[in-house]
Amino acid sequence: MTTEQRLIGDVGLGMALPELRKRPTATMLFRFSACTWNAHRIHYDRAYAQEEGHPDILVQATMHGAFLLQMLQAFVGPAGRIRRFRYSNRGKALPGETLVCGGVVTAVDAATGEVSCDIWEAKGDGSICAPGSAVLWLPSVYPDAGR
Amino acid sequence: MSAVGSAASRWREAYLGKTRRFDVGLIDALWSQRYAVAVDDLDPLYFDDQYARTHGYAGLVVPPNYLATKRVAAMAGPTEGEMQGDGLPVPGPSNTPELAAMGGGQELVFHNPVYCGEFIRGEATVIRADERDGRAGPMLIVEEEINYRADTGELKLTLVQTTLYRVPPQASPNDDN
Repeated sequence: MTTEQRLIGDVGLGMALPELRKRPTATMLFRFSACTWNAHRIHYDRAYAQEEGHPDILVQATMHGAFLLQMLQAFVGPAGRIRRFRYSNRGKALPGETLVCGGVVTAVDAATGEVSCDIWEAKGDGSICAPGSAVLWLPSVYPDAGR
Repeated sequence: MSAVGSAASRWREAYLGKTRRFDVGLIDALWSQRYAVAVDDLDPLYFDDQYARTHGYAGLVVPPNYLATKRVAAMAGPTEGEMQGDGLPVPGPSNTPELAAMGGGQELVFHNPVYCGEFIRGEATVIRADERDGRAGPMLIVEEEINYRADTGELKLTLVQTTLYRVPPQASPNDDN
């Protein structure tokens, strides 16, 4: 598999990060809970989640982070790096809902290769589930290795 | 004193500023890859050792927030008898049994890549335990800073984990999670 590598020279202030659309399913939530040894029933037991006042099982807090990081990793490519990342959990999400991860470049330092950006994960109605920010690093030239 | 205020006092007294050390354990490629598959993230950096090496890594890496989600010590976990009805472990005496916990967010600083096959240790310190009024009423905000290192001592990741505690959601079903 080959992946196009973005360079620091390709990035400008105000540039939009390519969106990543995710549609978590009940299966996805169960497997995420299982492989992280998380038995909290609000993530896999609909009847229990409703007892707690939720309309359905809830997407895990850190799954929102995983989706945002997937978008960032795709942006920096295999030779780029994610330096810093932060996000807040603001809104709940349910299986079957489409979550759109996006972002915008807020600063570029061509000398160091660092790129700052504001990021977010939103639902189809525009409501924000998880706002955040990140600092990334991009190479200035294509790496030699393997090419 | 409110349930939130009481819990905040207990947290500060029992945990604030105190550090606990734990072993995350051996980072296993199978479980890292299961994590990636679970969120439908098939980046070859997590699956193809040669691909990772040709892009500046020393081998297979884990997804960026794998450690930050795993987070806990490599133990079998509480027994069935130690679990409560919501699927969470029975809290300790200084914890918050009357409040519901929710992930509030995370900040991660990536110092060095985490490789499959490494043994990782964690060092966690509670850096904040404050009561705050939110839209849905008072909440306890707990922040814990965790530094993860390889057994060589190399610093891998700094995580600040925010957890929110508030009265259970059935009393206020429109709360955020």
